[in-house]
Amino acid sequence: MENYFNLVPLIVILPAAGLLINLFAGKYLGEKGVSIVAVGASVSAFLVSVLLWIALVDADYEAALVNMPLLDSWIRIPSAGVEIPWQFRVDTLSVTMMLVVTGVGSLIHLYSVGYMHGDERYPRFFVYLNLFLVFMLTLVGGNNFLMIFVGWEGVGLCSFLLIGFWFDKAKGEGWKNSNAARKAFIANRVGDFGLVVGVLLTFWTFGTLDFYKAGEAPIHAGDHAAEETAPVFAPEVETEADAEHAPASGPIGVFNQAHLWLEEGDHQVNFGLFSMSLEATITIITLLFLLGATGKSAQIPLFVWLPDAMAGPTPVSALIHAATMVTAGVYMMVRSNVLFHAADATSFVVTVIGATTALMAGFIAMGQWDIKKVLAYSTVSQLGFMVAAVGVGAYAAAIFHLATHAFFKALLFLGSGSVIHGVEHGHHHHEPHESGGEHHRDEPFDPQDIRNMGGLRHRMPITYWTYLSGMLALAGVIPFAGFWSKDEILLDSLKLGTEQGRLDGYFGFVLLLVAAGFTAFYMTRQVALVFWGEPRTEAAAHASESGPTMTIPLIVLAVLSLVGGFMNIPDGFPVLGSLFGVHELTSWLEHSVVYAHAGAFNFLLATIAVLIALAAIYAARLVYNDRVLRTFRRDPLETDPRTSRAFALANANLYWDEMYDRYFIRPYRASAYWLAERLDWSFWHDFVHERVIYGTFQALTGLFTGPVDRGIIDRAFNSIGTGIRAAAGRLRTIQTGYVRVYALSVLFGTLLVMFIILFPVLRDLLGM
Amino acid sequence: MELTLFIIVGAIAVLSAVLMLISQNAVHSALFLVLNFACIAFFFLMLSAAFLAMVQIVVYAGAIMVLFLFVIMLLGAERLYPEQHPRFPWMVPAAVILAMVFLVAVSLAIIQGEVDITERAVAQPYIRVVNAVDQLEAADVYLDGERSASDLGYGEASEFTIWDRGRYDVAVYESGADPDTEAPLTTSKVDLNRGEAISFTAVGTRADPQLVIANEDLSGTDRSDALRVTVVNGMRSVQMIDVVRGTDADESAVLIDDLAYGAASNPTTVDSGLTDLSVFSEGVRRDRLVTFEDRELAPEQGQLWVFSTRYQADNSFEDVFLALETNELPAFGSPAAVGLTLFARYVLPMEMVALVLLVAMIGTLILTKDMVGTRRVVRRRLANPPAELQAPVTPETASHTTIEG
Amino acid sequence: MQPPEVATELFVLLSAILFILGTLGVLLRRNAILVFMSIELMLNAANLALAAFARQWGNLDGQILIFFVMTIAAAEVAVGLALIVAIFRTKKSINIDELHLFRH
Repeated sequence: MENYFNLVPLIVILPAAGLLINLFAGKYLGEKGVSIVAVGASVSAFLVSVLLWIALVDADYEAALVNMPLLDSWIRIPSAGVEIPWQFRVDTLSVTMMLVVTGVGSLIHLYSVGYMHGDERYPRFFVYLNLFLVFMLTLVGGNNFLMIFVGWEGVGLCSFLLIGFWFDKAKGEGWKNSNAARKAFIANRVGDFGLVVGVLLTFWTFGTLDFYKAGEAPIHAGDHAAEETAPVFAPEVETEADAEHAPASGPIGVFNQAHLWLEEGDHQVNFGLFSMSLEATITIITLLFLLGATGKSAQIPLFVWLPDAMAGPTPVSALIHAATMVTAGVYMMVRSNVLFHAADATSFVVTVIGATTALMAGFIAMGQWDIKKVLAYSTVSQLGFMVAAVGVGAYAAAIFHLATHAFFKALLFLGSGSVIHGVEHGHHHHEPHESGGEHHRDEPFDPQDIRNMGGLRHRMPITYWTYLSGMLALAGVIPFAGFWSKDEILLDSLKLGTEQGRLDGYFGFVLLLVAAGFTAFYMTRQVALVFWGEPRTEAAAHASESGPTMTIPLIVLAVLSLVGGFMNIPDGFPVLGSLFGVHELTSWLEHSVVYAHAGAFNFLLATIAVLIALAAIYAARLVYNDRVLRTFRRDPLETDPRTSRAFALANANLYWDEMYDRYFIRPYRASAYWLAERLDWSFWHDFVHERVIYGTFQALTGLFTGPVDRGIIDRAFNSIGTGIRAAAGRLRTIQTGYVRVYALSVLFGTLLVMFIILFPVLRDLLGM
Repeated sequence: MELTLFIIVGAIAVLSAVLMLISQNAVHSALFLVLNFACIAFFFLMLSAAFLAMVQIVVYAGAIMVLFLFVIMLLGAERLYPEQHPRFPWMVPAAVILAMVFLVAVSLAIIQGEVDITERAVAQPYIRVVNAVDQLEAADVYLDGERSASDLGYGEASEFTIWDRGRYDVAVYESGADPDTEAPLTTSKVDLNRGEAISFTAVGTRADPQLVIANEDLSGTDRSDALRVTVVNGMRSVQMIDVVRGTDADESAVLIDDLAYGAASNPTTVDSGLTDLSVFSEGVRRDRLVTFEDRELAPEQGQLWVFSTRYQADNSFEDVFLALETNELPAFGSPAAVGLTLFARYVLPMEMVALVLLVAMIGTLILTKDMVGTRRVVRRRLANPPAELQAPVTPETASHTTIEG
Repeated sequence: MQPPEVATELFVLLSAILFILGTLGVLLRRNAILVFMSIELMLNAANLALAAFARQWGNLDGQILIFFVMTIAAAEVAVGLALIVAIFRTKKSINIDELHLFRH
């Protein structure tokens, strides 16, 4: 059974193979072939994950490290002591993530077969989806921060590619898509910066990026590792060489090192010019990680890309922006739980950010018209829940909520896709009948606008019931999945406040509770406006149910939304506890997540939470009653003077984009323009280059060519020539041709020679 | 006396030269030049160059000036008109100035050069070679690679020739041998000084020759009845000899005593007259080895006596007495002396000069040959080139160069 | 031989005077034949100097050189006069100022 561990490279290789096949041979395979390859790759990756799960169970939840073939020494700088292998870590946390990613991913692959049918770039879509799987699985399966980073960047790339998939849409629509893609990428980039610096800092502090090295087991809180070195590490400490894996020396992973140093206390990290305490360093690292998480997981202040990302195809929204990619930040923080646990300050910030985001996004969601935008803000809000969970130290709860959220949010997105598809279908087929319709003449028909829907309950029943399931799960109604996970987060948050007196605990608890209420309200609103009442447009009236490739995943996910919560039933819950096991997920995760702890069940709290949810649902039903739905012109919240201001704010998503534009984008563009035009072009190029440098050069060369070259040198040499010619002209006259003259010159020469010979005599004679 | 003569003749010479220059008549100038040559000849006589004086008369005055006169007559150039428009008016003063300067320079040279006139005239050494080597029928002698005598037979001597001073390697070869490749039969080093006269006498046998350096006295004796003799002992079997007048070993009659083999005596004065000469071996037993009877010793004549033995065909040895005359050298400047030097040492230049003469003769003939036929016509035509021939060379193509018509 | 009575320097001085006279003749006379005769005078002056020095050092080399000079002078005179005759044939003049090819 342990051999199954060695299959883990397949989890990356299989989707990679699938994408390569589709990339090069896609156009020859046809839609059917492409979909078989892609879906098959995804499903086989899921099967591998299952096998890994089995292997892990069989191996007593002990983690296994498997190297990717050919990449044992992926990055190796011997002189710096850097040795980073491409190493997979198969432990409970990563397997959980893998199962979620590949499971939900496979369903969405299947869904996409129907959804993308007829698209002219059909193969390319599946190439991107598989590529996404490759990177996401690298991210969750890696044993070092560098693989997380590679996966991080990769999924960001895929997000970009997929959001802007319809970049060539006609009539200017394509621009909107590519703008959204770019916005996503850039916002992510800001977060990536934080992650990179955090990773570098981690490497500097601990000398390695590996989570745990071979033979290490995570040191859990309470292990007195300082005294008992041997039991901490692999049982095969037989030889002297193995004993070298002692804590103070030898290579050990980041988390154990941190744990041990923190236990020792007073460990300093040297930065050359200065040194900091380990605690401070870890605080900085975790803050940087948080920055990365706010980018990828769409928290304040970098969440602004997620609503725009809805421009992409719905399966993309489901997979990437609901279930998997956006959870990467949460995963990363949970993986680094040792570090976050040690940095109380960061945890405070995390909780605040998470809770605030949850509340804010929930508020905005109440004022949106686009069906997918509602879900997008809902995602942001739920991510806030997860992040807040991490902040309060409820790591297991965060993962739990991550999993359940994957189920029902994917369900909701796919359902909305089905709705959109149906409405579109209805629009196209009955467009001539709409000749007199207002919507059709004034503006282009938007199939995603919920104002154009209504009464779809009858037209698309499967979609309706599954959607309802998802909605209840999201609202947190027992016994749906969302209840369990959300409740655990609320509980842990409160416990942090009550047991440890931490302010952020209370803060988080209150905000999250209110956010939960908001959640229920806006979901009910959405369901009411989409499914209940009567169709408001011809398109909605003629909408049809989607095909089985789309509805089957919906059904599967609906079931999961119902029973998914049972995997982590808290302690003390009657009946179901004994039926499904108590804290199954938490205890499963405890093997990997050091600070995972189980939360006891608080009946009172749970009841309050459910009641709030139900009350919100009821309130929404009151607002969006049948009468409103029948004669729907404008949203009641919009018209009601008490709520109109708030509604306007929510509809304008609290002017986040406008603020960014004014305070960041515009100054940036202005400065870029200034730098380009004024500084670079006018000053540097025109002035310095042209006038100063070139002008000086020309002046110098002018100096050299004019006065020096022409004046002096030319004149000198010309004068030599003319002088010679003049002298020659004059000397020529000696050649008279007369013998007598020649004879005289001979005599003259003779005398000259004589005088030279007689010179000493002359000298003596004259007494010189 | 001589000085007076010098001044008179010198004045005549200068005067005749001046007149030659001034004279308007070419023939007069030629005749004045002849007079000048005659004066020069007189000076040659004064300078002990008798031969050259005659040659001067014969060649210069007799041949060259005659040639000049012929040409003057032929060309009808006797009348020389003064220049109407002197082309170079500046020539006269310039020439005179330069001439004066020249004179000054030469005078300076003469005055400054200290010539000691009292130094003895005879300077160069004279040498000759005598072959007294038994069984060497012909010998060549080289001094430092330069051949001094060739094909010298037994008992023969070369003429006295002047040689330069210095050190020499004297080498005796078999006649016809190549001095560069073959080894000499014998060599000797000698240092020739001024005023010496040396006879290199080769004695001994062919297998073992020896070179004897005999100094001779060329000055002769004051007495009229005596002669200067140098004796060389070439008798191999006898190590030491005495040469005695007469036949008895009388003390008073000993001319030369204790002369070792391969040595030469100093020049000795010997009475002339008819006498016998005997050779005695030196040693305990004074044997009379040989007597040469009735030799006439002519006075006022230097002689070189060489005593040697010669191997006969019938395996016996014969004693030989060689008396070689040391002639007085020819007088300085005499034809004999000049001829001797000329033919001994300056053969090559003489041949070359002869060649030059020959060429000059031929050249003269050709130059003065009267060409008949078209050649002449062409020449005349070229002397007056037609107009079109003048065109190629114009001021544009060559500055100031045209063919004069 | 006795030491010479007349000093060698006097002979050389005389030789110099004759030489200079010859030079003046070469430079100043226009008649080619006269120029030639002046050259002969110069040669003779040189001969005189040579003889004087030969006598001085008792070396016959000087007289040998005189011999050669005479020979060469003879050859030279022959050729030179032949040239003059030949030139005269064409130019009808032996004025050396006219014996050139330059156009004046």
